[in-house]
Amino acid sequence: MKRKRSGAIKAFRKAIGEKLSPIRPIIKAILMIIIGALITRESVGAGLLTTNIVFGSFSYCLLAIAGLLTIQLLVSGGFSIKDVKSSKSRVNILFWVLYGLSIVVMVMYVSLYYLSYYLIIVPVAIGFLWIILRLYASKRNKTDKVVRIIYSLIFSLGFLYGALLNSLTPPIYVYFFFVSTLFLQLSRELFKILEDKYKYSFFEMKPGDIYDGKLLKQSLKFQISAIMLLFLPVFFGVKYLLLYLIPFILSTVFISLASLFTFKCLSTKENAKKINRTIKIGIYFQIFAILTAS
Amino acid sequence: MVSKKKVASSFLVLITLMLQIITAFPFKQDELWEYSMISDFNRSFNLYDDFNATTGYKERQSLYLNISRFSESMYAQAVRVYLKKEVNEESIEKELTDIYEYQDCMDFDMNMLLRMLYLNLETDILSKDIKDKVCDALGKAKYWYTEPSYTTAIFYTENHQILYSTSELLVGQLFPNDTFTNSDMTGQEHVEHAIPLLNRWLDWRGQLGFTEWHSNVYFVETMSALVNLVDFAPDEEIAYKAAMILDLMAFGFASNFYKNRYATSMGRCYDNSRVGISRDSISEAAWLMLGIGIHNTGDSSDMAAISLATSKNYAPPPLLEEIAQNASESFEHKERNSIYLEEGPDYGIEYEGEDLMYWWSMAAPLAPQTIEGSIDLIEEYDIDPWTITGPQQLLDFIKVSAYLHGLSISEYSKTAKLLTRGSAYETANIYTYRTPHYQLSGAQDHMKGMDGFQEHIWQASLDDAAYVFTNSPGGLTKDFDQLFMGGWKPRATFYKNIGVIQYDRETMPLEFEFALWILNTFTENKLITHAYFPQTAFDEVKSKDGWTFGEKDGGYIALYSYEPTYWVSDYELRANGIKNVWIVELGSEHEQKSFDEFVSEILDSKLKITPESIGYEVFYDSPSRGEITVNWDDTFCVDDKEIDLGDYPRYDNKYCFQEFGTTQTIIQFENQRLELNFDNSNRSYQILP
Repeated sequence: MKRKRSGAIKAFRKAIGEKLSPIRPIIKAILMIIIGALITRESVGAGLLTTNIVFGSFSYCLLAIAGLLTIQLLVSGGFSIKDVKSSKSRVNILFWVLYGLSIVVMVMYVSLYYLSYYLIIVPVAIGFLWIILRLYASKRNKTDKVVRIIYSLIFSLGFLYGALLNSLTPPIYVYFFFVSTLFLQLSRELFKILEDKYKYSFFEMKPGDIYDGKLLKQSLKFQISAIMLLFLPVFFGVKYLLLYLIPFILSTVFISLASLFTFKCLSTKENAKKINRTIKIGIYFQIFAILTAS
Repeated sequence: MVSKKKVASSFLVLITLMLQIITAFPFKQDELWEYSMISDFNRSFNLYDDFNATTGYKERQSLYLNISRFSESMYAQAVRVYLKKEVNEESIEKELTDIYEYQDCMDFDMNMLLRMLYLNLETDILSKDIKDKVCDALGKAKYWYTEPSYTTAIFYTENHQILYSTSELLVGQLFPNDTFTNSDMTGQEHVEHAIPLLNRWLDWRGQLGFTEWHSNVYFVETMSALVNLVDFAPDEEIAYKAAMILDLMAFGFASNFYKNRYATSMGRCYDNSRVGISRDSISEAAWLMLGIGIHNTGDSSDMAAISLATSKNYAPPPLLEEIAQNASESFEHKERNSIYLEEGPDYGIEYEGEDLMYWWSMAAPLAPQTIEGSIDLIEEYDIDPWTITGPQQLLDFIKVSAYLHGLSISEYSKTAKLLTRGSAYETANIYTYRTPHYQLSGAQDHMKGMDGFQEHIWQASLDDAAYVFTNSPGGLTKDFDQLFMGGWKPRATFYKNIGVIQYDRETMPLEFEFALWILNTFTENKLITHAYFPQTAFDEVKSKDGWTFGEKDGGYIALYSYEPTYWVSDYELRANGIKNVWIVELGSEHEQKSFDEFVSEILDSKLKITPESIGYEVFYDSPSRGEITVNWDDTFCVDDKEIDLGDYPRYDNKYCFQEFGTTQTIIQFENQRLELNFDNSNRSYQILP
């Protein structure tokens, strides 16, 4: 009976997971906006904080979808050869509409609430970044990597976006945290390439593959850089040191473990999913550290 | 066959029931307390030496006695004892359970019971049986938090402190040689314990005003204790000081009552006494003292009114009654009540030990200055934190969280000052502007953005039902169910007939923001600001361009909300969001020709509101006062002239000017002069040549 029930729950969770998977990056991005806004909340009153979260989430949501459309344009997946051209142009139009809308939302918000017009630069810059990355990918034929970069940026830029809404000059540790999150997310995305490559069913990578080795080394570099970046806020005015250090240490432990596993991957078989999950836990603790320390 | 399980569960239920019964009546003993009460009560001084009560006051006393003697309530039995009429002893006996069980508010009952016992010394109408029962309850009662025995009773608010100390003094005086069961102290020892506490309470109010300023609810209880002191305190100093505090309360009524309403800002108030058809609890006492407002024959068991009506020693000085009449049509008044937490040392009030009673009476046990002392005192006397600070878990959380933040408890409290300090009734600079058609009254710039417990910040009144005020519900309001009182305090600024009320707040540590979010989820608190605007109380109500207008008997009100509003009910005008600015302007048929003209003048006026990172930049070209400018932090200007938002003197009006913090109040009206001096307990009333 119990088994049946747990099976049903698992199936339900899987179904929900599948339904949510297309919008998962957007949900994550909105959460990051809220976190970013909460961290710099002291710059504004509670009223403006609330509207920043509401309008910021809406505007960034449009940008995140535009980012996902950029990925769609790059991979061209889901289109049949016949209608690939017309579909691409439709997606392209949609990209520009969403990009434009996000700017319009921000212009309206800034005008209605008499905020700094410099805030409009933020969505303009993000949309511009998607365009640059798209051009770079198509010119240099680095679609796979750029797709992963955009995925990572959609997630981590949300944090910076939320923080910038409250203050255009946020504390320096906000930038450290942003870059660190970006690196960890990139590291995860690189593992996802391997997961895709081995079709999920194996979850084990063969040692010695030159391409895999390159990815793993890159991922390892990102992880180590993230740890170093996370350590920097200790020296740059983090408000409550102890509350930062406790989750930071836990985060460091998990990321270090992930690095160790990654290093082992270079010579032995390892489970990619396990590493990916370890990094994910590291990111959670990292978020917790920055939240509690503020 | 009964199963073992059933037997066991029945046994458990039985044990639980027995335990509940035992714990519910821990102090009731079969044996009656043995006592030897004094047989008569005489004092060597008479408070009527300086003046006689006005004829009006005597008539009102007699009128009240005549209706109250028919009431069967316990409090009203004091009237019957006073009039030597047959007493409903059953109603008295019923209330004794509260005292045996040490329930909260037992001090209300104790004060009225003691009043009866003292009055009975003269009339001797109570039977021996009920006297024994009352004395038994009083002999086993708890009179101060330092006494042993656990209780959930609250000893610490402004009204409870005076009520308990008064009870202690009077009971000790009544049974000087008997030993009280709970405290193991004799009556004389209780008297000696109570006298310094009473002197301190009276001196603080005499010098610093009230912490529960203008409370339309708790002044009733406070007054009842004060009248008891005037009538029965053995100490001349205490009796006179109590009379002087009563005079000051009466002066407050004269300065702030408008058309039967205590139409001003209040330190403590409840939704049910401000929303809907209601009457201020203090109305009957105000009517009795000064003849203002309306006497309600249904209010026959009011503690304060009964105490006043049965008092042979207290009468308000005649000039107060005349001031109340004189000021009823046109008046401008400023006053200051209470102090800032930082000012403690200036007035010799420390942040620890017994001095905490001042801060606790201000609902400031968790404020940065007091929190550590509060925790020490709570632990020292094993006080139930619920009665002071909230649950023990909250204190534990604060301690752990402070440690993790690397801060002292006091520093940590500062990070959440919107809550920990917000609940405190710190300095209230009250401004009242009255014309024959309206009154606008409010606490100027009072603790903006902080979370209030029960405060009523401002009110614009056209009559006793047609009045308007705004509020931002949320935070740690009383019992978490007050939607119109307490909540997030605005930056409220007033000048004559105009008020600008901005709502916003700073942010707090995430754990507190999270806790508030949870609280909002499980209570009716919504992220809104709203106005109480009872449409049916007005002759006409209309809305246009964000303004809502009301007219009543030639008095006009215009209320503007920056955020769009919508009617939730006949009386609630709501705007979404916690940040908003409301503007109020009052007018009348004397100032404008008609209501329509008032409306069109307001609609034609220039209004520019710019949201800022906190609060707003407001520019309003008022048709009646000119250009009004104000924001969250800076000055409030009318036609480029800075308006005084405080700190105000203790009193500043045409009858009295007194610097705050001084101890001598001189009130003058025509050729009458009242001097209240708390330094030498001198209450002198003179008719000047």
